Amino acid sequence: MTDPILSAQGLNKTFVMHLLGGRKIPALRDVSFDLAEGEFIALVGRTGAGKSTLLKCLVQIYRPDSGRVQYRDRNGAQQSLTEMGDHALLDLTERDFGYVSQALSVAPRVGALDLMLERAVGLEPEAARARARGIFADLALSPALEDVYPVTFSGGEKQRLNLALTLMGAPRVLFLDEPTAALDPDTRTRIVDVLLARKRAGISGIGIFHDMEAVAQLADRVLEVDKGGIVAERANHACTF
Amino acid sequence: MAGPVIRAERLSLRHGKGCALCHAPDFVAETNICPQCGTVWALRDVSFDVMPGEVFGIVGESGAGKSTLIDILDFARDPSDGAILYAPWKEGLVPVHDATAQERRYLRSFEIGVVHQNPRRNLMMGVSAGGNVVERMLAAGNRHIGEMRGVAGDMLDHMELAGRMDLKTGTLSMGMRQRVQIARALVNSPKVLLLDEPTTGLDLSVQARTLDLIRQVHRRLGLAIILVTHDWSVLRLMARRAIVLKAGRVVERGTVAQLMEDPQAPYTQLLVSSAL
Repeated sequence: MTDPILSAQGLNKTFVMHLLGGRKIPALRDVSFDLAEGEFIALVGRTGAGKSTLLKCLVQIYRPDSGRVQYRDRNGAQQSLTEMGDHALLDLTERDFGYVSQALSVAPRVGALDLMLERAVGLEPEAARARARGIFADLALSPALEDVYPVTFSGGEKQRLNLALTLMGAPRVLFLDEPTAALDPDTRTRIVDVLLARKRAGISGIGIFHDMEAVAQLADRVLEVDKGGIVAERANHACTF
Repeated sequence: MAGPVIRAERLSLRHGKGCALCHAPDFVAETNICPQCGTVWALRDVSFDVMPGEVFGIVGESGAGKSTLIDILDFARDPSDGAILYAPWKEGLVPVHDATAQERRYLRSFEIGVVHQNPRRNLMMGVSAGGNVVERMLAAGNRHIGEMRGVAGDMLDHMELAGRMDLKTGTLSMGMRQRVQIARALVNSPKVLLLDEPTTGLDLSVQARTLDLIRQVHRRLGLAIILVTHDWSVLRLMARRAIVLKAGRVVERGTVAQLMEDPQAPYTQLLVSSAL
């Protein structure tokens, strides 16, 4: 059996609020799990349970206090993200990881499609444009929005553009922070379809979902997070292709 | 992997001789003034690497030592201690502060471009915008006036200053002066661009436009940029990694996402929580 593509071992994270007299806020306790190549894991649990913290500790936006995150790269070599220098870490995560946060943060006064083209790697301009337009349409974003500045987008449009920007690259692992929140059922189905297509193409993923229908369709495994720890794990047998 | 293009190694700049107390390697004080001898440590043991093609941020509030650091990187000042290693100059990393005056002039003319917060430090206000750009090409040994005018004109066009080439710099707005500075800094195709608060004091629309131009230049030329700013949103837009300076020392370093979302040092937490 091959090694997992991503492995978290004993992750702990406590926030120290120096402005509040050094108050400590425990966020993750001893979290360990493996993500197999091609697998999709759904993180479920109440708001504030530590799901987003876990995602950010995996991609090293948060630096875990202890524990390790191991990643098997394109050449099959094991990389320890928690021990890597920040330059090498960025090179690796920008190329291989697709982290989609809940907030869109982009350059001002650049149209949506141009933002996507900036993310195109190794494509001829025409091919990049076609790819960007395709992703735009797959995510049910209207072509009329292509040259619009995203600051004027609605919440749901911003959310989908965020996912679209990530999909412009060629990530091997997706880290999704509630990609289907705040969307109507039809649009949600479109997002799930796009993610399912990526999964069929061999992309791995871990995502936070509150929508059980999406979980049933997408996830191979469900991890329940509570009070900063994984409290339950189940295989998702409803998942068929 | 390619090595860094610039490495700052334990740079210090002190005003005063210092004493046994403040020269000790483990010296720590509340401020950057030695309580025993009164020596001011404008910078203390600042180290970092900038990789080719990277935008590297330097953050901190006024008086933290950001502009002093830019002056040292631009050879306007010598550090009291430490070295800058500058890769494109010679094979491998060589400390540039061993360079002769002539070698420094070469580095400042060809390899490093600088944009100051105050345009008056770089630009002659009584000279035309084009003249300010051409002057830098003259310094680099170019002598063909027609050719230089052409290059300067193209450069100013890129900076959205078409048609203003022959206007006196002093008659231009702040945003335009900043763009003349950028054109001047870039005209000799440097490997490194030093930007000291390039958009501070500009209104938001001019700021957005200037940042967009810098982003385009960076994408097109792939040069390394060291960006000094106190604005976290500018940092997030432009830079990948950064250091946080307080009273002349590096208090935290990391990726921009780490510094903004998970600041660890009390000072970084204060700065991040003060952002609008």
